Amino acid sequence: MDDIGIQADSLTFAYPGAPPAVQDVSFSIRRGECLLIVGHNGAGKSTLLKLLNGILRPSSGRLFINGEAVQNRSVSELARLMAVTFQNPGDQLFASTVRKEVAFGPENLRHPNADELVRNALHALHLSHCADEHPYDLPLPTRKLVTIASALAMGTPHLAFDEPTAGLSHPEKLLVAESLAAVRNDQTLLIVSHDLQTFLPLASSVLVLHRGRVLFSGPPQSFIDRNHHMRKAGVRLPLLSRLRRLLSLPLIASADPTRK
Amino acid sequence: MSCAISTNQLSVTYAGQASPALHSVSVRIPEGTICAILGVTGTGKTTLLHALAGVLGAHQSGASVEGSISIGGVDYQPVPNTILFPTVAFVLDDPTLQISGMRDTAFDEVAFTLDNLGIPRERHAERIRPFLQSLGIAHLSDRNPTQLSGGEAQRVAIATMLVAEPRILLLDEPFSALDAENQHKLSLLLKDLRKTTTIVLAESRVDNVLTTADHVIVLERGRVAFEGSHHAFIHRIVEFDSLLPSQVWKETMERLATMTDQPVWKRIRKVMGWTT
Repeated sequence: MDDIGIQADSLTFAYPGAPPAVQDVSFSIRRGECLLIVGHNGAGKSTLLKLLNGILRPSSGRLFINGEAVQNRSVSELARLMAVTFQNPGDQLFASTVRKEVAFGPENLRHPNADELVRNALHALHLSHCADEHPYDLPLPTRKLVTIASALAMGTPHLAFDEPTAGLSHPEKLLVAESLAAVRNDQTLLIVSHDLQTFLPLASSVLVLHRGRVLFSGPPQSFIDRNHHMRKAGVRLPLLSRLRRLLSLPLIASADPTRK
Repeated sequence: MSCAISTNQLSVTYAGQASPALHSVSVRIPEGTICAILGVTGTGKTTLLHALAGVLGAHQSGASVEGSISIGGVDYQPVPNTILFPTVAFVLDDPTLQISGMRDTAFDEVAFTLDNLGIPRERHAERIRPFLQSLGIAHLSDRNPTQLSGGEAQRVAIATMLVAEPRILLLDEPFSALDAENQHKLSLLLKDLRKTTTIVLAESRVDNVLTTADHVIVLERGRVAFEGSHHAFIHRIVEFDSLLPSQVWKETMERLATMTDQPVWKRIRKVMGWTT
């Protein structure tokens, strides 16, 4: 029980006048594991992330981080535990330079090694060369990388991302995958994404949400073996995985070192 | 109607360059197919597309061009220096360069092509809408085309070309900016277009084109290293490991090449979406 990083216990939430967006959702991930959350648009994925960082409060159910019940902690207390980035970079960029943007979190948290965290995060996402530019002078995909660098620089024990590779080109996706793989063993990762090709190799477990409920929860291999879950979740198995299945090769190679 | 394309001993050397960008390239792209030109960066893919579009001179003045090309049975020697639009339409790798910025909405951006072809306004909507639908951008009709995401802008750029109903459509790296879902949609759209249009696309990665291309050309340092059907390519694919995204891909392709006469091949063809 000690090494459980995040545990959700029957989380339920409904927006006013609507059926529950998240209903009875439970999962747990250990420190150093990566949970991939998939589901159709409107399945409750983004709502679930907002429950995790305290922007929304569950109407029932409990949330544990590092073994402590945190569903009533303040947003800023939760921010020390988990950095959350959202799908649209426009929702969260506000500083006048990329460096200030990335430094905002760790400086606010008064991290003693904030400078180093910022430098490493900028380096990991290949943003060092544009650190002094205004985020809004950069193309949208680069802005997206800035939000991911901002989350990494927080140095929190847990990280959550909403569609971190949406709208990115292949080399940019690889950059994100490599950056997240590099922190995976030290930090808990929670990734909401349709991008199975990028994130299935990283994931230690998969959670499928369908109309606010958990449709499937288990290891990636059993997720892949159950086609109907994938169809319901609105995701396609990547071509490589489909071919490997037909060729009787192991579906998920734990390490897929990418060529430069 | 779609038409076949061929090049005969096509060589292109840019001004000030010692080695040619294309070296005696002779290829034959059958009509009504999707042909992928594969190669790493700087290997001549875009130069070949420029030659087929008749824009070599527009992009690089002073290039020395030898050999000939043939489009729909018409031989062009010397290689044309005039844009062959609307017979041949060209979608650039950077869609922002293609969007005129002179029109306020994506719909009007597409209509700009029809204006230029002298098609009366009252016929625009019926001609444009099906393309916006099949490209999944109908909901963007009223958006400012200069404020779209990369993938959205690219599809608008494709629409501006398709609406001219070209016999040949050339696309430079059409898949690289798209996510998996949109790659799949574009692939289906291109396959549909084969009935009327021969499609030639340049890509640097095999995985982007394996399920789309019927015909494959691999360029290495300006020379043709492979030309043939997707089926024939499977047997040679591992020779071109700079085109494969990872070691796991290479291992998978090695196994795939041993399976072409096995019963499972039929199912593999289905997964590949190969109907030809």
